[in-house]
Amino acid sequence: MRRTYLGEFEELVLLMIAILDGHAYGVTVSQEIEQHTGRVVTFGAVHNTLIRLEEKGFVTSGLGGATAERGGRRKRLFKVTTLGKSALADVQQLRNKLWTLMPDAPLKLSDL
Amino acid sequence: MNTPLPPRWAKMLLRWLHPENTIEEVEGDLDELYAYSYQRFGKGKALLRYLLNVVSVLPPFVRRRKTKYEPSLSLSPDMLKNYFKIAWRNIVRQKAYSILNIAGLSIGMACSILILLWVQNELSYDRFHARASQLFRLTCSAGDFKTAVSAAGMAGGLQAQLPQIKSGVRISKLNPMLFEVGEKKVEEKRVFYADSNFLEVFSFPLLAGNAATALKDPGAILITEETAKKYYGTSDAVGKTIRINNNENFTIAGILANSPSNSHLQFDAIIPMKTMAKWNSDLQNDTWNNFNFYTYLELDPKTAASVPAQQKVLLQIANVFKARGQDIKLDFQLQPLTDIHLHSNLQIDLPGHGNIQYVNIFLIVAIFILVVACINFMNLSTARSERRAKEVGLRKVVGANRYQLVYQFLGESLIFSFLSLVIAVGIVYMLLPVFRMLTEKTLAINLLDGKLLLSLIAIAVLTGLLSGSYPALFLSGFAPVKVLKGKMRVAGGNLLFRNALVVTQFVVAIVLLVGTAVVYKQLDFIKKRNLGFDKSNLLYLPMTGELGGKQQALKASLAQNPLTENFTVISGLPTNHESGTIDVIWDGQTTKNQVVFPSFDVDENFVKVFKSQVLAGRGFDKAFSGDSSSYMINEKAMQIMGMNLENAVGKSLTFGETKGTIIGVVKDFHFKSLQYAMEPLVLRLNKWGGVVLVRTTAGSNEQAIKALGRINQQLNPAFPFTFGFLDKDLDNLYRSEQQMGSIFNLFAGLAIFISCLGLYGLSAFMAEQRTKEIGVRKVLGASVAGVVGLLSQDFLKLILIAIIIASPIAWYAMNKWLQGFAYQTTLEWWVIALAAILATGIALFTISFQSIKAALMDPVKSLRSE
Repeated sequence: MRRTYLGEFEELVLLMIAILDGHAYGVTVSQEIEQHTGRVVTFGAVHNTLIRLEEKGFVTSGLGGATAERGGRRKRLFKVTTLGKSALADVQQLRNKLWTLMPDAPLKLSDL
Repeated sequence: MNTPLPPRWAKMLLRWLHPENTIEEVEGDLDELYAYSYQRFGKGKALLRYLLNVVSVLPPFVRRRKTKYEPSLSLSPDMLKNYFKIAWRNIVRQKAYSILNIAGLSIGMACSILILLWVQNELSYDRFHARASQLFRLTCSAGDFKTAVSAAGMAGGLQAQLPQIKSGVRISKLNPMLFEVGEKKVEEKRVFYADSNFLEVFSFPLLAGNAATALKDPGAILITEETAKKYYGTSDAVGKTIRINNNENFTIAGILANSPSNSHLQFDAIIPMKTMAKWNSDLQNDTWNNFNFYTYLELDPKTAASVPAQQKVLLQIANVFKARGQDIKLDFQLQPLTDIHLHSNLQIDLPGHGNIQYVNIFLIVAIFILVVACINFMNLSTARSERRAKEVGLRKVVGANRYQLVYQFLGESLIFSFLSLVIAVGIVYMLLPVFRMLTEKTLAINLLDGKLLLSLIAIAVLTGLLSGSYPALFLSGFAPVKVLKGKMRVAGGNLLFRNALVVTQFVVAIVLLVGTAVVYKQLDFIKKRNLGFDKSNLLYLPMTGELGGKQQALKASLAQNPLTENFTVISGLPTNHESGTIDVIWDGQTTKNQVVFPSFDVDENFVKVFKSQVLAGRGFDKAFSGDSSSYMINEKAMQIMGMNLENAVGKSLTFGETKGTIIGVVKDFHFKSLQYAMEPLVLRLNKWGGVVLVRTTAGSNEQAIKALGRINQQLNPAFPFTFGFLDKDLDNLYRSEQQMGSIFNLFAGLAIFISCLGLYGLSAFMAEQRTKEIGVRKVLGASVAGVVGLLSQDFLKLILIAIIIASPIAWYAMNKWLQGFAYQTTLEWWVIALAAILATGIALFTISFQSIKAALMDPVKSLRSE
């Protein structure tokens, strides 16, 4: 079975959406990434990734209600779909499996 | 607290370029991020980040969000298939209308393609020369007398003094010569002498021989491939000899490619100028005051590209001319080579020029015809829009937006126009031989030529878009609720627009009709105009070969035969008179003469044979021995010299170098094409020959020709007998006008035909719509005539409006055209009235098919369904 490939940045964004749990939109995702990873990303990168994730079916989106603080413009809020959740779980499972297979030596080396 | 706002211009940029469907959320997000970083990092860094973010969401970086009702959906294969299916069904279901539409469009397109082929050919003249843009012809004008010729010494003299002139080529006037190879003897008309650098300056390819030396040897001749084939049966003829004019042998030094049809220089053979220099005094003396040659100058690229630099060259030329001691007031012009064919209106020019006015007129006609065809399409499709209304409504209900519908209908009209294009190309192929005959041009349509193909496709696309635009906008604007409820009524605005279109069509048709009528009237006027002499039954025999030397014997034998005894010898025919001088001095002259005086050499019989009128004094007479230094003048010359009928006779006149007296005044007669106004004329006594003109009587022409032939055979056995009738030659002067007349006629006819196709369709539709009304009327006792009148009435009103609009347009346009002629027919009101009546008649005839059919229909049938 062909699985949809999840890129590194896509995975990161998808995780943030899951963390934000219903409050995920462009701004919050960007801020979370910045806070948690220290990476400063352009908004375009986040925006494009959100659209791509939605095209792949990992998230759904909907326009929220009008807000006062942004000139009445609506936000597009993102939610992780079941497919998205299972994709994240798959990635984690795969990582865990690979970690268990790893002998100790390389890790120790990396500690140095 | 006020939230900090990013700069306006960045926002404008974002709104302008960011995809529409995500702009709201992105703009909000960016504002929020700006406020956030403004608080955290301060204004500078926030701004920088904001701008970076804005750029990152602009194309080409931004990813587009696909919506469920994506407009690109209309380009999906399924929709395209559906569009084609619907278009095809509509074409097939309404066969009659489709045929009317396609016929109109394809005939219109075929016309435009034919006209464009012709226009393109006219515009391509002389552009094939490698240095066409640097080549100019030196022409001059003395007052109103503009001429294409210049003097023999100018090319060399100017080139030596002006560094801007890179080279100069002289070409003689056309010199008809008798070519003789073996048994074959033909008089070749398209022969001229040219300087040795002719092939260097012009890009006429030499198929065999050495281009650098071919025109250097005085005993050499260049002939075209066609001429070579004619005489030798093969193009491999270099080194062979041709005997010319029965006295000199020339060796063929090279074979030229046939002169391209789009060259103003048309030739069958070229002889080196050195040959002519053996006997021509102009060339021997490098004269500056005898204008007998065409001079072409090649300017350096810099001068050729700038008008002021050319003006400077002209000024310098004028100075050189003055420095040579020439005191004639003469203006020089540099005529670009590529302008010669279309923009030349000069006397003493090579034959066969076109006219830019005709090119423009025909371009306009082409556009008009295409517009008329498009109008047909628009009218028929909007008139029948009710049939498509349900479809439009349904499409809208299931989510089509207006643009999709516009594209659909535009696409449909494009299908129509491309179908028509294919048929039009077929029609063009069929009509091309006829059109070639009409225009006397070698036009060809080559579909593999990318440029042509592109312009054909452009025509089709343009036609499709133009004719589809209104129906598309109109149809796509239907409100689905109204349409599906069945309350659809053809709106008044639509009707008005349609009526305006019909009016436009008929305006075009009427203007073209008036145009045709006026062109024919003018041609007729020119042909029937009294030329001042009797042109009928004048048979002429040019004195070629030995005839010139045997004048006395010729005259004696002509006089012996009662068929030819009424003859005169004149220096040239009054069809292409080409010489004149400004060197004229008369009694009582106050300032130096600046008017060109053409002259004819005539003999004593001239007045009698020509049947011209002597107003004062007498004609030349054998009884007066001093007549060899006497002159006759025409009325115009008399006026220019400030004399009148009472005092002109007996005054002295110096013409050229010879001083003499005026012995008579003849009534003005036309000795040039009627394009030119009357010019002054001096008649001298003929001492050298030229052309024998014989006045025959109607009915005895055949015998007179035979008698002339016998005389030629006796006195001039080496030369074939050539003869002609003056009236035919005169008619030939107006050949290009005649051609234009017939082409105009053809296209006017087609424009009317196309309009009628549309009218037919429209009347059929109207009759169909009013079927019930007509049924009710008939039941209540209306007569057939009444019903026909009722149906015709609407159209009649439109045609009347068209007549009112068209009349002043036609009047203005045709007056403008007539102004190009020195002698014009009058534009009378009845011409326009006739055109109007004709247009009305044709229109009513077209409508009558449908209206009579509708009126005769049994009301039982039309009312039964209710």
